[in-house]
Amino acid sequence: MIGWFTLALLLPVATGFILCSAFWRRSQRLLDWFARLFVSFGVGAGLSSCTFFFGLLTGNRSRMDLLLLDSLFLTVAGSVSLAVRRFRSEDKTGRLQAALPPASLIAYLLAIPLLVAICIAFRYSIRCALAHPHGTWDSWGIWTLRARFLFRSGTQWRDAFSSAIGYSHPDYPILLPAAIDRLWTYLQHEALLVPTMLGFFFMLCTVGLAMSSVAVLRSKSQALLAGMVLVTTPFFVQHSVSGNAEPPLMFFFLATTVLLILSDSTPQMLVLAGLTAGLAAWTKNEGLLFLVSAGTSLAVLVFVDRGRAACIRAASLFAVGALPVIAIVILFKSQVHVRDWLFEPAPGGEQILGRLTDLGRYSMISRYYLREIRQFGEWRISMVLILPAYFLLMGRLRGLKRKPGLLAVIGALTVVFVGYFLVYVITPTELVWQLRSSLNRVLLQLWPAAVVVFFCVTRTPEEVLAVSIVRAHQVVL
Amino acid sequence: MNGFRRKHPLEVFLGRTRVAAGLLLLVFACGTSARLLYITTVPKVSLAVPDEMTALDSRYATLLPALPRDQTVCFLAEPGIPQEKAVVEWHSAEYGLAPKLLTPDSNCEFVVQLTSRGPCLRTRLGERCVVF
Repeated sequence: MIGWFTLALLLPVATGFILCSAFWRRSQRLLDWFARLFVSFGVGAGLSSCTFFFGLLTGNRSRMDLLLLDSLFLTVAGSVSLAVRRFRSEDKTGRLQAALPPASLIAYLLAIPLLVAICIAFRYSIRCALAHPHGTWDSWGIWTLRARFLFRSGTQWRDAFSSAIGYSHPDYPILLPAAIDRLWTYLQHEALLVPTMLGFFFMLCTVGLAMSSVAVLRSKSQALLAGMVLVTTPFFVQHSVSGNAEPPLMFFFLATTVLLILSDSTPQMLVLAGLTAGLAAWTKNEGLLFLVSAGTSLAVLVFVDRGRAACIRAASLFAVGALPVIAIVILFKSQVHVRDWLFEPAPGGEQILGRLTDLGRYSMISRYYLREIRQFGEWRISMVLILPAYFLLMGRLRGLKRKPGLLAVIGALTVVFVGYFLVYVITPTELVWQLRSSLNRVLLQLWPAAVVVFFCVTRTPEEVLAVSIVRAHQVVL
Repeated sequence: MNGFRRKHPLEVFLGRTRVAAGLLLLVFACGTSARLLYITTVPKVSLAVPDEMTALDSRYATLLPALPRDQTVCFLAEPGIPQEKAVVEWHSAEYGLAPKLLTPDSNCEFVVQLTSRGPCLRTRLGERCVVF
């Protein structure tokens, strides 16, 4: 059993790594390699759920069938990698800032509290997973329920999207249920901890990617701070083992963010950014909004900064990565024939236009947004108040205008943030209940990406000290 | 010149103060939340007792082999049971009995009925509701 489980994990990781390496920038740095590895983990897990869905559609869903499909996909990834390597362009400088000393005293000092925080977070998550192996309502009411239907129903797998269980949102894409089901198929039984452990796996990837990418883009001390902010966000840690789709969604939002920022120096990484944005859309409907926002922001900012030709090239590379997964999403939506509940009339009969023109809804959502933004992380002291204070003390990174990738990320996250607001405006369910039950999770989805962007645009401690020392030296000389 | 010399060590000092203040602020805020996580971690002794969902799931799992494979099963709550409780029980039953489709109705061969004593199973013609 352990052998099969190892195979189930290794095949997608290898596929993801080969695919990511094909488009990743050329770098021998260990931190860069770590960032690539963490992206590969998530991409591999996401793509393996696509192959599982392909197996479902074609009736090939036994363990051996899955093994063949996974191996076939690994071969395809290898072929893509070989083909791409022939046409690669040379990379330019990859950092947002000139090189700084490798690790300062500050980095060593920050490593200790970070290690303590990681241990506390892991202890919390593992105990929580053991105490509540079925996760929260959303987990057993939506995601694991769907995985059970797919696993237990054989050829009747379309029952998982029946209107009889309409409360479980049958229109949601199935990255998470398919990933759970795939592991169950390899194990040949419904291992109870698989859903929560998948969430834990995505949390590890999220923290690892956030830290390694900030270390690559900015500095090691800045990376340690980003990691510390993430692992001490209680709601983030709790949610990692809740069995919900938020952990993979957070990961794909973050991966797209990182890849868009890195694409400033290596445009071919936009293919990977498109792929991860597509996988976000394959995770949850919110991902569709993110995919459109990221693509549009990128196209607009590259057009403004570099002109039409560069804009077309960037948009094409992004689309090349996203299209295969979008095709899967479209195929899925066409197979399950479920109407999107968001656009249905409210129980009172109020149509979407009526909800859009109801100013009371805007006011109520604004009130909830203002309240929830401060407290969604369930911090003891709100990080949403601490981070702006930290930013004021440290200052802003110079030369942001020359970084369309970074600006595209900021634009995409802002559009998604506003988009979620509008989704609440049109939601047909009872508004207060909807806000109370989901707004904190919706804000959490953007949190890791927002943390990385924050530490990318804030000056590092070493930069603040260096500026002071350089100025002092200049005057003394 | 002397004025400049006096000013710039101060600038260095201010830079260091800003960095120290920023880092202390951030580490302190993170520390308080880490402590919150530490305090609210599930104690080891609680792990020995299965949670509510695990208990419900095991209960419905015993019922699953007794139900026909290709038929829809109904779910009904006894009058007087709060709607919220009935909905949670319906969803739990669906989770435990998947891939059976449970419909909130009484017109089925098999009906899972939620009573004040807990859930039980009855057939269309059966007089008794068998507790499982």
